[in-house]
Amino acid sequence: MKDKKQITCDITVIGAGFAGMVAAARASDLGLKTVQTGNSSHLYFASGLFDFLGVYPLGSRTPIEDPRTGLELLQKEMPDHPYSKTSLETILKSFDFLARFLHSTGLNYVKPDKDNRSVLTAAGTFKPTCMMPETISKGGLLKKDTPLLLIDFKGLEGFCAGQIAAVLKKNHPYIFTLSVEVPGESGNLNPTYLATLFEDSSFLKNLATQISPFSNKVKLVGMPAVCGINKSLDILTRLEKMTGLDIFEIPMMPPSIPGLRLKNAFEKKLAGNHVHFLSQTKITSPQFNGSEFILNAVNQNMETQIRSKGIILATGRFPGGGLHAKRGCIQETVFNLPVYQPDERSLWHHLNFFEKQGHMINTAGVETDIVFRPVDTHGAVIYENLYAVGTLLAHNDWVRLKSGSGVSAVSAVTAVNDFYKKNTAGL
Amino acid sequence: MFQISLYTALGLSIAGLLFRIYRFQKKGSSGTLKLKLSLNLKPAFFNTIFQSKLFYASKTRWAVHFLVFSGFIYLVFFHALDEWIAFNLFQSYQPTLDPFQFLRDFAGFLVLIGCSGFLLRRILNTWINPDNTTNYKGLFPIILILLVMGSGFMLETIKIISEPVFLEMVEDYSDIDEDTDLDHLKIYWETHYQVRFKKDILITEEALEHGRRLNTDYCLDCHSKIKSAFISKALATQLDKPANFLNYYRADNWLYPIHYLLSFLMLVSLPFSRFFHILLIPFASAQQKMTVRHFQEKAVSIHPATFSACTNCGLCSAVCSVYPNFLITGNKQILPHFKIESARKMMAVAHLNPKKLNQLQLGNDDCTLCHHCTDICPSGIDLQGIWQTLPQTLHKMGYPDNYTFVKDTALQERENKEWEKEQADRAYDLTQNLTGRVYSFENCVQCTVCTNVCPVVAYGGNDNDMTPQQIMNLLRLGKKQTAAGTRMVWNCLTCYMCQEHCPSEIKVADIIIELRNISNQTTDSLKIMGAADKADK
Repeated sequence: MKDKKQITCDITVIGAGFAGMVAAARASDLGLKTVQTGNSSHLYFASGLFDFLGVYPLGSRTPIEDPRTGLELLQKEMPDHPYSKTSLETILKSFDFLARFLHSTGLNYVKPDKDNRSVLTAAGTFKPTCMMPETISKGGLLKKDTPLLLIDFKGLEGFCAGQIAAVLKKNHPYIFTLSVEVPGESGNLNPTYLATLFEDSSFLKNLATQISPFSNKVKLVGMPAVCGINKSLDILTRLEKMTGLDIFEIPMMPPSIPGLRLKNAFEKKLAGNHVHFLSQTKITSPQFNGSEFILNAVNQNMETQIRSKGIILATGRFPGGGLHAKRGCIQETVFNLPVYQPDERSLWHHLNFFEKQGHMINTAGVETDIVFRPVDTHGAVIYENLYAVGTLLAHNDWVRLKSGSGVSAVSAVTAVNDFYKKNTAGL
Repeated sequence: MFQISLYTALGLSIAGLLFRIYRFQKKGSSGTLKLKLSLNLKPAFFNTIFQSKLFYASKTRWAVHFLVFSGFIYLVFFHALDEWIAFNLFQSYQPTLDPFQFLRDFAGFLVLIGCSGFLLRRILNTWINPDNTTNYKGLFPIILILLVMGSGFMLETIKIISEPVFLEMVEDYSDIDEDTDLDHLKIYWETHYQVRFKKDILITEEALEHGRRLNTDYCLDCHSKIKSAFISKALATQLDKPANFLNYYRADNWLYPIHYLLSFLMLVSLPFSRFFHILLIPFASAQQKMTVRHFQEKAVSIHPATFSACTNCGLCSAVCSVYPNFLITGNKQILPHFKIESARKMMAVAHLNPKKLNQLQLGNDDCTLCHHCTDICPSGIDLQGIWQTLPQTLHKMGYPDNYTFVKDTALQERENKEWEKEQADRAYDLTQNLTGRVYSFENCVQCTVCTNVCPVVAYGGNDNDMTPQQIMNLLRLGKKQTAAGTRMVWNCLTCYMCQEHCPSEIKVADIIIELRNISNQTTDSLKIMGAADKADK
């Protein structure tokens, strides 16, 4: 027999991924009584970089330098894209809000300036992004002739200094590599465990003594993004002081520590903002009684009935569970909203797996009006206070356009703002 | 006849005793049980004489047992050994004189009541607990005691009513030679001592008075009034009709050897039956030294003789803290009084049924060493010490605990075995069968989040072999038995970090627990099969 509980709130955020977190952050920041539900967040998979718009048009091989010019073009050519429902100003404001919110938790992000930045990845390639943690941002100091030391750790999978150096060699001739052995560890090394080691000062000292011999040869040090889970910037600064070198982190394969830092930061601050978080819950049988939504949030031992005026649906796509691919069609899993999708299954994917234009299924999702309320096939709003945000939105091939965080942030902030505007006038 | 049988019985008994001691010594010097004698006189004395531990364990049982004990002790010293003890202690002692005549009957009565109590408990126990394998264990001694008591009472009764015995006594102890005098004494004895005579003699006041005087002259010194032997008197009244028949065939001459031969049988069976506890409980009680101090000093010692001090009274199992485990699993070898019986057999017989030995290992594994059984054991056996040394013995015999077995077994050995079909159903009774349903782990994308949050993996060490995400991968590859045999499955702390963090909502911890259940079952089979193979060779 499960325990039963009832709660009422202004707004319920369904989903604990990036979009859900931003929505909950915005809602609680505005003073709305917020409930958030979701399972373990996919933020663990997030690189920690916030993209605005890295590539345009689709299939272009060179990243765009200024996202604003790309945005102008996109808004003209793709009227259905979520960015076309909003403005540059709103997008920048959303990023601003996000930076402020994260800063208050102690996680410093470098705010977006005019141009995209290229960030070195664990593959040795560069990725255009807009906003990044301060621990990664010093990678921007890497110029063509900068002598660089790349560090990897023995046993840490998915990060090899030698491999990055080999890729970079063409444009960056002065690269040294160092493979650090972690004392007492002979087998596989997990990034999370390694990151906790960084919080131990004797480990840090040991590492500094291994880096120091290079201080005459190099100016910049790149290392995998495992520099502590908490207070990573402090730790990095200490390491810089010990070695007298500039050090930056290189984002790596999941599980990603910058993603974990982001997750922790959100969770900590949202708890402080009194967001009621129902972890590991699934929403079953949602109902609308004319004035409010009645949701059942179920987990292994608890069944919570939520009565909520508004809902932000931030359930993500297929991995997150927001969309479900059945044999014949794609369904939205919570409200069974109409999903924009190819007419038949055979059209879901292009015959060429690496097709530059992407696959049809990548644009499937929920269609909305300009404040991100889902609409039916005739374009009519389905529920006055139901919003869909993040990757769930249709016409949004965020992976190829490198626009995931931007779409999520702007849609979440816009939706919450709209709900707030409409519902606080009468309060 | 009497002498021959007495010395034979004594000889057999002593030889048996020596044999048992020899066996105990041998077992004590070999094997894992350390032979180390100690002498704690205080518990030995109180537990032997007053059965103090039984008193604390159960007042009713103590009362019943003490009836038998006190009655029996009295009979041994003041009846069986009266020539050496009673006659020397009391100058006027005669078995037929009060208070000895009364006390003898009374002691016999106590033993009878006590033994009936023993029997009653066994019958009642059979009702309450349908499993009666141990209920009939101590039946032989009880029945033997009852037979000895019964034959004793019958002998006394027959002697009372016996005319020939009367005549012999008159011949030996009086100088009556006139028929009238004899008749008068007969009249007096018929009315007051219940002797039954063949021919009816006319009773007159005068003759009775004369008989009384003759009685005072010749008999009263050695014969108290018969009513004090209350049981035999009652029996004599009942035997009024067949009295002549019995007297004619001299039943007393038959019953006497029966009575003493039964008693000698008791003597002979002393080292080989439950009677042995009479000697072993003082010994076991003297051995008990399981205080916290001894524990710390590692002075724990078990003597094999203490195993045999067990009377299977079952009090230990009644207080066992893991009794609920028995209710759930049905493994009798969880209960102390079954365990000690199996352990005793294991020591005595080299080859015991592998299944049973495995059950014993599993049962003993459940023991929490809570000390309840040792505290209550009326025999004063150091049960705690037995449970602690048992795992080593079992390990040597090829029955380590499952965790050790898994660690010592190569993963390959788990493949290509055909137990899965028969094992499967039992394991899944207790689980949700997550490992049997593809959807429960197919969503795993090998992202290693579970491995990253796992404290067991983080601790590292050489002990762990696979990580949680690798286990999920083994399942995806259809290698369930391999997954179940990994150390990870057994090292898991069930902290649920993996399950809480899994982005794909896989019940990682639940699956690992289920795998451990499966592994438990298969490990049992592997152990039993391995032991059987060894036995074949």
